[in-house]
Amino acid sequence: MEFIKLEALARESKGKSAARRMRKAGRVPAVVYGKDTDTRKISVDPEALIKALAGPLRVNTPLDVVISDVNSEKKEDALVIVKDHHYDPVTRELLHVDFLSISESAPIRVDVPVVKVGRSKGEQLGGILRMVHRTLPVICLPKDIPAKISVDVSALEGGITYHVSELPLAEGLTVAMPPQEAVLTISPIVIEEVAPEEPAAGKKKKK
Amino acid sequence: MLSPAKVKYRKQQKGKVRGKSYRGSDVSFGDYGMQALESGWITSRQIEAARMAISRHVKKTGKMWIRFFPHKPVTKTAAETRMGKGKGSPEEWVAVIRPGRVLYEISGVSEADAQKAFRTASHKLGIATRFLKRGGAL
Repeated sequence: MEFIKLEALARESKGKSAARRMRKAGRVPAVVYGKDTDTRKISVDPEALIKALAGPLRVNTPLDVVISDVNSEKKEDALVIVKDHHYDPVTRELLHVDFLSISESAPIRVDVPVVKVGRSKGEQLGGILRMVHRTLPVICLPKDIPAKISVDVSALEGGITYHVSELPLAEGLTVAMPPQEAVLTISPIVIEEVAPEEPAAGKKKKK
Repeated sequence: MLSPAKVKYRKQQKGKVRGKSYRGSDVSFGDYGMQALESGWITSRQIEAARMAISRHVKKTGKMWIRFFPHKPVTKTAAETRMGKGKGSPEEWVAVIRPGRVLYEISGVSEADAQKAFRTASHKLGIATRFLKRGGAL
């Protein structure tokens, strides 16, 4: 299977001074690690990375990182997925990216967003839908990573809990959660009874 | 108004607000958040005023989270008091805010309503804020 390619440069420097210099030069320090591979320090172009992850899989997109060594002119390929990323809370600029080295034939665990489709009967009658889990940990092969898990809630009534076991999952996907775990709940409709007002004549004023 | 139930020491020094808030800088509970862009102190009165402004928009359908708490006591010397004679008495409680901190979050309302709610609430606080949606930089 073809994966999106991302150019990266191997780096020797480490520490905050070198990382700051690298960010000033327009690159983001990153690291590649995995089960049966050596940890490699690299740097990537943040704009290229954001562009590569702009597809439907977003941050779960498997990337084919081509690591170039400036000194030896050697090139190395690695199939990776973004494991973690740090960013500035104010400017939202990338500070560091962790890439997890993966294999095309081994299942991996990714967090897939859960999306509700439609408006439930319970909501139409005044109930409130609450997403218990916005993402679910899914175990699958890199080629089978779903963009989202859609839950059709239009037939659900108030006071109902939707469980992991009821999810419409494609073949080859496993949710790493107990089947009885709640995904979303719709609160029961509460009809407030208005008490009839008592006549004001019998009231006594307190001083 | 918010204030600690019990504190170890009644009075604190002013301190300095350095750096950014790397923790508590994401929308973690709701769908939309209000993020601080400046550092400063937010008093418990301001927190309550902003909460009331948001709750008018959220009403019964939405849910609101307050992601900060006024832990710091602020003392004031009484009026017409000569210099000296020690530190004043605690007058109010403030939250120390660094840029990046998510102050309020809401869910269960439309984006337009959330923006309106946070814009009204931001006028009650003494620092610049911005509207934030769920999700990181990637």
